[in-house]
Amino acid sequence: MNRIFALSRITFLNGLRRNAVWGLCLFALLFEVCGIFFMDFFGRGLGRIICDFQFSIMWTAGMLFILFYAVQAIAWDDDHKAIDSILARPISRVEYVLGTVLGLTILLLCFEGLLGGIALIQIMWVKPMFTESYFPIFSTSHFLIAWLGLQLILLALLSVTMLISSAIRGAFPVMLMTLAYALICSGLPVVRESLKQKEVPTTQSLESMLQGLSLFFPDFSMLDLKDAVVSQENISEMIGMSVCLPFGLIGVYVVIVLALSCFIYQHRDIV
Amino acid sequence: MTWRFVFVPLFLVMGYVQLFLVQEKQSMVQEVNLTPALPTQVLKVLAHTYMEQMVAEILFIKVAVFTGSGYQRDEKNLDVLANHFLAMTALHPKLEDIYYRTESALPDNGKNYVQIANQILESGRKTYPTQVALPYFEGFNYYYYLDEPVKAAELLRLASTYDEKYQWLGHLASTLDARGGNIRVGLTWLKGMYASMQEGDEKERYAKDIKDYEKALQVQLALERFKHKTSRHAKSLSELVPSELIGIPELSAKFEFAYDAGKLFLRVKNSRKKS
Repeated sequence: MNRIFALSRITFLNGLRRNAVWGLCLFALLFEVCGIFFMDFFGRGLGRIICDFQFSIMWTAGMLFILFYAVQAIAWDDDHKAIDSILARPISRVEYVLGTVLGLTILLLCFEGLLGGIALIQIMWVKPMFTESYFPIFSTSHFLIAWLGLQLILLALLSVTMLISSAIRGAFPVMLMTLAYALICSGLPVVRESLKQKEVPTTQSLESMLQGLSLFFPDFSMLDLKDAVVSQENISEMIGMSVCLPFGLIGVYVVIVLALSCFIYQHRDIV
Repeated sequence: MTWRFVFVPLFLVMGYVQLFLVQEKQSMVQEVNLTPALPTQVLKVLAHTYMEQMVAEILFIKVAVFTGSGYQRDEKNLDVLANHFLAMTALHPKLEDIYYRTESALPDNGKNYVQIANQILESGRKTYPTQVALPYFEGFNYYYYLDEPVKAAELLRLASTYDEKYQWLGHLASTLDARGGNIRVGLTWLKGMYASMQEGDEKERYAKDIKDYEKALQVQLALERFKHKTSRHAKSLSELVPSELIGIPELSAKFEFAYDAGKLFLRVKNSRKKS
């Protein structure tokens, strides 16, 4: 356990030393703050639009972090000798996987926490400036739950990145595969919805196949809880099917993916 | 040598600024066109689900800038504009601004666009079932642009039930019902409103309207009896006298009868409509 925490600490500190991460953080913060000026184009529902905007910035920043930094940190190829030097020490491959993921998760959560905090402060500062008809409702607890939903999406992507890098050598291929995975996850629900609406002819086997694929490529929209931030839904009603089920489902998915990564790393020749 | 290091960059910069100014002047003269939006399903995939709302909001800003400019209202631009509104509605139906912007930009351009606007407003009503503006806009479109007062009345009647302060929409709905020949429905609703109102000037006005509606209903029943007896529609209302009616009832100064091929309409005098 100590070795996992030690490696996670190294990974975390390594990330803090990277200028690219700070640059991404700075740009995301600038977008969050300056993007508020675009609200002038809208006449109604400003609360919803501001929340959509802030969460979209956080999601984009998280995705860029995963695709352009986490992949580099995880991937093992000729340019990145870190894995060789780490595994030369008395640390098992499973501990390596868990330590790296933990370190990157903490770094991501700190990064997203900063963005989320600034977004929350900004929304709470802006809300009193509007009359109730333009920004009627805002709930901090719903905001927090929506933020957690977003972090779970990013954590799932991070664990899939780890899984892909356990099987594939090279940062660029891992990045492409992660992007392809994300596109499939967003495209599959669209295809299933089209079949449900009978826009194209369908068979039972096709629908079953798509349903089966959804086990491996989950629909992350169930964790998109942005709407709840400006809804009147009571928090206890929300933490039911809206929260517990999707959080539980994706949580278990992350554990399974990480377990699979550990298994592949354990049995894979890294030379 | 030194002159070259001064003059060459200076000429380059001046050349660049000149070209920039020419480009700026040209862009002011150029027609403003709206580039088509990608198909909705493609946008949904590219938006990675989480960004659907953001994509819709970006499209909205694009549309807002375009409709704010002096754009050419030709079929090409309007088709692309309608396509944008449909895409936004599919991506982010909870964005209220779409419905208001649709109503301001589309219906005035022809029946096709009114129908598209109504389609968008109908999906808005599903998302916001108690938002009074949406059935009001849709009803207005049916009456003003599509000349379907009965359909308009149905929507305005629905809007009047949302809150007490919108009850007056029910009166407007009854007027449109009568205009469209649906006198029975208009009268029933008006009587219902009258019964629930408190005493006052408004209640007196409604009482006068009810009298006119009842007279119109008498004439309508007479037309139905005439049709039943003679198996044809009366050529005019005067044909009903004296077999079905003693005389054509006299209406108040507010209303007048209109008759066309068996259908009786009760219209507000001097009410104008978009031709």
